[in-house]
Amino acid sequence: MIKLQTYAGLSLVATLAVIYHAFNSRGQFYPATVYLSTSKISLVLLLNMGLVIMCILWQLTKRVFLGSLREAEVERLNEQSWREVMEILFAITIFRQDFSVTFLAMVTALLLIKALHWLAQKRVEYIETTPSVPMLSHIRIVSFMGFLLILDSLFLYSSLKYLIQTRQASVSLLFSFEYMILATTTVSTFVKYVFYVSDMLMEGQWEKKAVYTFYLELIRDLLHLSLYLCFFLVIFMNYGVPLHLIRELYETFRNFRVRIADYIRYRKMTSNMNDRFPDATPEELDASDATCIICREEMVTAKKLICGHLFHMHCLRSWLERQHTCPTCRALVVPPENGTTTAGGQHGPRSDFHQASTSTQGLTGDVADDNLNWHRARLQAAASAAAIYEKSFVYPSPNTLVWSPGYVSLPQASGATMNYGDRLSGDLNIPGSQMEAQKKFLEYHIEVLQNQLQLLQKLSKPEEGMGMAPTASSAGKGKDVASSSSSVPDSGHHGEIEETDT
Amino acid sequence: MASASQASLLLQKQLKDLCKHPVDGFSAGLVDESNIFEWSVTIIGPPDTLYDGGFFNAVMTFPPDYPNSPPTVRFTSEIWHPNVYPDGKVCISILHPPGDDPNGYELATERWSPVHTVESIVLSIISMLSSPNDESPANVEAAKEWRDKRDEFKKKVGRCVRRSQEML
Repeated sequence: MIKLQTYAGLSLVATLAVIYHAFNSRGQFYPATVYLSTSKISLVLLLNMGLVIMCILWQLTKRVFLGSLREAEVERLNEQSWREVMEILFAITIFRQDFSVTFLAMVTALLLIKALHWLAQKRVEYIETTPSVPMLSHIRIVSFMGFLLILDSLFLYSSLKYLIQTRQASVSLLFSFEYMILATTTVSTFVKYVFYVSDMLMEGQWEKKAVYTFYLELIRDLLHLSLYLCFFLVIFMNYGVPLHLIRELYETFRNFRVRIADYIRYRKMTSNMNDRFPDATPEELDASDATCIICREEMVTAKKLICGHLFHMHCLRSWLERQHTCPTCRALVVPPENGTTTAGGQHGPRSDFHQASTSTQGLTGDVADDNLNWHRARLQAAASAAAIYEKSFVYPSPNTLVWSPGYVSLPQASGATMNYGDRLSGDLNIPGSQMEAQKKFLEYHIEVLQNQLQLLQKLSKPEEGMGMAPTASSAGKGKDVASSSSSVPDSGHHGEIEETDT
Repeated sequence: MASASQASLLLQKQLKDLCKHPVDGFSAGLVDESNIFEWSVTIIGPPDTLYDGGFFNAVMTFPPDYPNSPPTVRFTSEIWHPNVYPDGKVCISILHPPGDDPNGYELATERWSPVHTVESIVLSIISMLSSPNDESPANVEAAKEWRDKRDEFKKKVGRCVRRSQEML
């Protein structure tokens, strides 16, 4: 912060010079102050000094409570401050009749305090993710949040008092609203921190933590949404459309809606998880290597999805909070309606994928073209994977073998491959010897296809465009081959080896 | 659930595994021994690509709810690639959180899944290095060069590779 120091020094010198000049030329106290507050140059310098003092205070608080910032925090600060400055400028245009020096000072203070809040949030997040945090950091962050809360309530109190005294819509509305939001945020951050600490005290065994955190965020969002709405209405009635609020209002609203939708889905999914997903039988556990692919711990009991993959109950639950697909093969986890795992249930997600892939396949010509594209994409992915991972060739465990339903339901795929895919996805818990056999079969398959491709390339030089742009779904299928042959994850960018070779 | 501790256990296990059975193509360790959520990875430019011979450092930052949410990966070495933001952040679909796609061109099936490990992520990045995807570029300029002015692109990548070797 050398820059701030030099700037502060320069400002101080300039201010002192102006004050000295005022008193020197005017002689008496009263005319000197009149001069200071009317002359434009001296006013600017004095305001500048005020700004510098505020910045120094801000730096001091930051130093005391947070120490030096981490990179992520600086990033957040930069990112958010621009947006915030823009919005505050919008707000200023709404309250332009209240424009004065105090107003400017309040706005600057608000910005600086907001920045402190962001930093506090980031720091709490950081503490939550770091395993061994020294006691000092805990004390610091708690006192920092206390300090922020006191600041918020002080400002909130003063602006509310002003509002009640004058009984008139003024810029105090903006401040009381902003500080209300800030105060609720601080409280929720603090409660989150308390959750974390109690989880720590229970040595990470607090099963309900996620649920409570969810409710906390839900309540916070609801509160913010209603506050924003109130403020929006009040401003709208008194001043006109508050432009600066629209983004935040929309964002809060969307967050809230997503959260509610997630919650409903999650409740539906997990309310009777026990009945919905069958327990894996001991034989099934033995057949797989009994490792939960999510936490890589051994499974004693497990839940089975309709695609046949096994997981710990609690691992599965925390994933289903986010998405309703199988972590291994990404088949939809739609539980069968009638509660029994029948063939009908198995076909549900597959037909979904079928539709998806046909639609992305789009308008690319006839059956033969599709087949060609598909084979080519598969080959490219396999070849590129083989080329890169020659050395780091890792055989996947049976569990990680990925056969997504998309592979099975490839539109217009030849009958033989259809059957083959079906068979594979049917029995995933195959023992190692069979794995080897299948691997050999696959490698053979790849070779045959490679020959085919060479032939095709010779025959169809003019149709180059097709191979260059394999459609998303066909590339997806190709990647499945890649991932099974060398445990390359399907990373979603299309293997176009021809181009990299040039 | 107990997310934070589950995540750190899982990451510790992966670290141990990678120390015992190192994988060719990259090396991995922690940035700071006390923080299991920040990994430092050195990726060796895959052979027979433009990045051959380079040693690219990257930092992987894991969220507290890993493996349910993806980590972020940032190259700290200078690297010129269509799918790496100018600030070094890697943009590949498996590192994007599940759920709605903000940009609308990725299938949910290509996105994050909890089965991914440090190893599988780094291998994806290596394969990204060998085959850039210019359909949804993070570095538009690099993507344009890669598509239209391949010589210029090669030159810039070559410079990055040399610089990364000098840094060793």
